[in-house]
Amino acid sequence: MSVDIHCREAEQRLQAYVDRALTSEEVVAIEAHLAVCEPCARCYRLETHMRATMRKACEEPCPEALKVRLRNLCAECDCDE
Amino acid sequence: MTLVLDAPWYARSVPETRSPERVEFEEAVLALADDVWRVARRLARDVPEAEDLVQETYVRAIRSWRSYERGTNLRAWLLRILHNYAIDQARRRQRAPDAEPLEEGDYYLYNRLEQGFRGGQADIERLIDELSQGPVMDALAELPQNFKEVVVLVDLGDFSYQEAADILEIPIGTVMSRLHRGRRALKKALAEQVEAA
Repeated sequence: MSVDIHCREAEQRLQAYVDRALTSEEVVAIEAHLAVCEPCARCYRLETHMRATMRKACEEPCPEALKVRLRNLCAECDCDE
Repeated sequence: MTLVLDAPWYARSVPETRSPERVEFEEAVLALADDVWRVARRLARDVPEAEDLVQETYVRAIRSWRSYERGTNLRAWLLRILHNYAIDQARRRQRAPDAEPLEEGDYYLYNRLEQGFRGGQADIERLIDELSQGPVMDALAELPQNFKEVVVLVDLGDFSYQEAADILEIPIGTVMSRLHRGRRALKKALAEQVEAA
């Protein structure tokens, strides 16, 4: 992959970049493009912001009462001992 | 009985008959309860269904604990159990409509907005600024199940494409395709909300 990539290539690789699924060579190429292309950089910010917002919204921990039930389940199950 | 002070919530007194391997396994799976809950909560329609998913996942995990290969990804192993149980439940309830594919034509608004962003005609920064948790969660809940489960595993569960493929027992290419289309559907729903505001 050439270091000098265009918007279409950047767009095609954006998802894999966000998911850290690119090779180090591909990462260098897309980061070089994002540094000089504001429209692609905006799309990247939207991708990462949407993901961060979703993660933040899903931070609720397991309810304490359910944790107690799970702990009791483990204690009560003598299977395969 | 041993009193454990300043220990995590899953620390407990253990019957003397328990093998050290079994004790280690139980503590490891209990420590993952928050992770399993977050995935179950997003896949289930409501809290009671999520609680049932998690509880049955742990019952099945404990029953088959010897089949877990030490040193492998326990979180992925647990979530594969959860996923299989969720499929069983969906079949039992005959919730087939959830698995219908998204059509390419659904993306017209997203494409229009994206073109606008690239041309500088629409303000993508406004969309970013106005993204809030409620609409994101509403949009996620509306995704068809087969897209939602991939988005949940990769975006919330932090699993790699390969790990998600292993958990769902589908090809890695299908994971990438569903992820891409699922995220596009999310952005389309969010763009519609911002445009309507």
